[in-house]
Amino acid sequence: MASVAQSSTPVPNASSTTPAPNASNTPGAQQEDIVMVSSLEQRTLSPEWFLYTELAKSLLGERAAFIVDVLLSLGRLSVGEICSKAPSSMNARSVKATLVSLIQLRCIRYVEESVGSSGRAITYYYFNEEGLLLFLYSGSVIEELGRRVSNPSMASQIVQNILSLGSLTLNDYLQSCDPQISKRDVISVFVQLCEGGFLTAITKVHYTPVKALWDGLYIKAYNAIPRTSTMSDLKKRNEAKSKAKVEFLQILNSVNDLSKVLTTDPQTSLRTVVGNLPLTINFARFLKIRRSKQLVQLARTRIGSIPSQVYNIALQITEPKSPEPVDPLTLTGLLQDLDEAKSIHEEQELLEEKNAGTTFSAIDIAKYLPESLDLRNTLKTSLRTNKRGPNPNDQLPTKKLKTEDGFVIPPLPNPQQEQEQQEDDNDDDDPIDEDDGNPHSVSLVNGHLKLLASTSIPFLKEIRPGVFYVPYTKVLPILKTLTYDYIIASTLGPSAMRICRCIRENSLVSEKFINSTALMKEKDIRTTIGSLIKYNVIEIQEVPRTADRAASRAVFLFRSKERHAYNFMNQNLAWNVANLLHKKERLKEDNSTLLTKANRDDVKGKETELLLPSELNQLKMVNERELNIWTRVSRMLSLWEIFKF
Amino acid sequence: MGNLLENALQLSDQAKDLHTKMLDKGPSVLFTQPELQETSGIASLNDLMPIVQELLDKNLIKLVKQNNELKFQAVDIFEAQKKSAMSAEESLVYSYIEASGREGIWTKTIKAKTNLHQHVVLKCLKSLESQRYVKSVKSVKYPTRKIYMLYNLQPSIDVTGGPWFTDSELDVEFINSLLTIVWRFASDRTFPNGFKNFSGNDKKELLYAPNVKNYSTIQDILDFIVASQVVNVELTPANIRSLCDVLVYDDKMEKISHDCYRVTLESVRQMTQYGGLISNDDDGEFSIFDYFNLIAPSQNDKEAVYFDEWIL
Repeated sequence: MASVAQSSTPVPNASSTTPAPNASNTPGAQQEDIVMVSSLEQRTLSPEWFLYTELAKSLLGERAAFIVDVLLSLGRLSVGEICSKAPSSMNARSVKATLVSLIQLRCIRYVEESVGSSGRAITYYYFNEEGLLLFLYSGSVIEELGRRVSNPSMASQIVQNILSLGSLTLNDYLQSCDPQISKRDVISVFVQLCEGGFLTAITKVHYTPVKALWDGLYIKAYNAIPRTSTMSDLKKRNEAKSKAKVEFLQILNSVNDLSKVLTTDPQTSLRTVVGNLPLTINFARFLKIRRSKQLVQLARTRIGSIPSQVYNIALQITEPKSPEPVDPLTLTGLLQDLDEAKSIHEEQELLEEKNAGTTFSAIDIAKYLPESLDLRNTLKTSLRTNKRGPNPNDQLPTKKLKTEDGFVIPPLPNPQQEQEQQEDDNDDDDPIDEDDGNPHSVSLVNGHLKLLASTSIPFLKEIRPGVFYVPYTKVLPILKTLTYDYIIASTLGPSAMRICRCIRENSLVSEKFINSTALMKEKDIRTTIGSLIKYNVIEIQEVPRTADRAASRAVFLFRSKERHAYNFMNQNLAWNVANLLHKKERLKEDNSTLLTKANRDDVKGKETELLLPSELNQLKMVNERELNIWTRVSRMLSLWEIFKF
Repeated sequence: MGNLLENALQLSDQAKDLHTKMLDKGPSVLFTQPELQETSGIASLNDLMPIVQELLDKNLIKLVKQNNELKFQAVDIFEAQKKSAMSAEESLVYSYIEASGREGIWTKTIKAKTNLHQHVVLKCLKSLESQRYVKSVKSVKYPTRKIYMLYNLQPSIDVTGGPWFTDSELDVEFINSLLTIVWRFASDRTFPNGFKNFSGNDKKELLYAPNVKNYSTIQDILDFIVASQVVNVELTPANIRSLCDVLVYDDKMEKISHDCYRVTLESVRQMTQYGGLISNDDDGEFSIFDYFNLIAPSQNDKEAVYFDEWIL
């Protein structure tokens, strides 16, 4: 198995509170019991709560974890309300201090509201998962963004700093960084990161809850319509909604406006980043990278590794303009309305096709293909003939008949040959020159693009001959479904996958129907269905046959409700990530004495001399297990994000 | 045999004559009364009646009701002999079993139709079975019912469940081997070098261009299976379709259009444990599609992720 240990722990923030008090060192057996009991508690609460509090506890400390905990459990709260829930060890001052650092790290959003007739303003705090997700993904954020610029090591350093501080200005970074590093290089990395959209200027929008922003805009637009207007209320609402929508999207798009971030240096006339502008990681942009990766993986396993590399290029060049992984409008509560949900979906579909920069052709791809990729001899244009039996063309060449005036009498048409001819004609529509010396010739790239567009999974769509776009709204649901199916196959076995897909395809089925279409024994079907129901993969519908609805006479039908099932999987994965983090914390707690000893300044670097052999072994085991956990976390994340975003 | 001849001899000439004539027209031809008059050449019903009665007594003619009309059917001498040897109840039971044809008849239905006591029915069935006149078959549709049909009949598909059933049990092994055959055949078409296309040798991956018709139709697969003589039961295109559907559910095939199927690359990768050009990939990113059948958590693994842990 290829290891994917790429997650590194971000540097905990300097302002984070005191570390968790160590649990008394209880003997091993008892320890296990505590794990069991605590995990029982954790199971009854929401998995996201478990994940975020666990993450906050391990990276930001107990106090931060407490605030995350109350905000997640109770929704928005004011400082006073948080204080009233706080344990005695936390006074209002420490609550406020923690809130500030959490806001800096984008873990909390806030909104000011005037309450009552007095107009007194109260600031309400909301939990913002973006900050904690950034921590969760910190390792791959650092790695991915590093890969997208010319100087990976410096980029990772910058990104790491931004992650640990929340935001950073260019000037601050230049001041604190090593004077030996060329200023110009640093600036150029900053410019590259901003141009790619990986860094954005931090604005009020980052700290305002999306829902609150929407509500504010909507109410403003609604109140702007004069009361004396003769319009019906429904019409007023619709008008307000459409006005608010325009403004809402405008505000959100202004965040990605580069003109405020990039300027020209008057001295060197090179492009630079505005020095005093705090920059932060654009999480949505990072998610786009993850989304592309997932799609490339899918293409690699469904079509082949060479087309997938072509696809990778296609996704990368359209990434900056591609639709957002999470449409902000879906966060506003507008999805409650079916018409709105439909129009949002249609809008998304339109965006991915019509937006400038989302379409591309083979020429665009060919420019970016890596040298190592040779596309020659990767596509075969005709079926293998040996399976067809004797080839009719193999007969002796017929002698050409010529009349005296040089007219060649054409040979009698052979129906089989004609068919071949037609196939050849088809080939001519789309010639793929195998002899072409260029390994990245446009026709070869086009062949691969067409391959991607012509499969049952619409990786690409061709709008005009030779011009393609990525239909995210079509391919992402398929990615979700397939990932789900394979998770089911890997956890419950291939037979579970067969039944699950059978039920999905036929929507509402009886056990007998499954028996006859999936060709499985009834006994096997029943046990598999049992476990599928436990995982919420399928649902049971009871169809009573008698007037008294006797259960013994009722027929049971099965169906799959995808939203329900995926939601469950989403939560299950989140819980498992959280549980892994929890286990890591337990591991550290159990070995706290050893770890503090190993981390002492006088011991560091001289472990072999100062530690006992048994301690060294233990340390090695702890490190290995931690690494192991991080690998698993990153793998779980790669599954989780498919259902989450 | 002697008894039989004796019986036959006991027939009057006219009756024998009519019986032979009826049999000549075919074993299962039904005669209406006028037709009978014509066949026998006896115009007067009064003359015909005793002859028919005689044949009926000897079980050489059967009365069949069709479209509310009474019809006569000649019965083979051996068959008649069988019946005359039976008791009245036995022959009653026998006649219902006979009427049920290849579908068979449920013991409870026999009881209801004959109005005989359960014991009597069971006794009759037992004696008929021991004489090998009837047999009991297992129905796939109703596995708990005891179903009887004539000894020499082949149960219908409804009863046996079609080619997938052997002794009324789903023959999973047979199905699985057929699935493999179908998959292998289709994979040969889908990729230029069949399922060995991705064996991971240093060779470059070769795929068919998008305009190549690299799918297999139901008929292709059926022809292949018939030609290779791997099965001894008769398969229909519908059978192959259901096999292909199962492969689709297993994500080993994908449906291109009606009755046209192609093998998925995923299934080939599973088969050959092929990981793609991982070495070329600069990122060994985790993908469930690569690992889904390789992961086997060990017992001592404290970090193992169990998906059912959260579910209580």
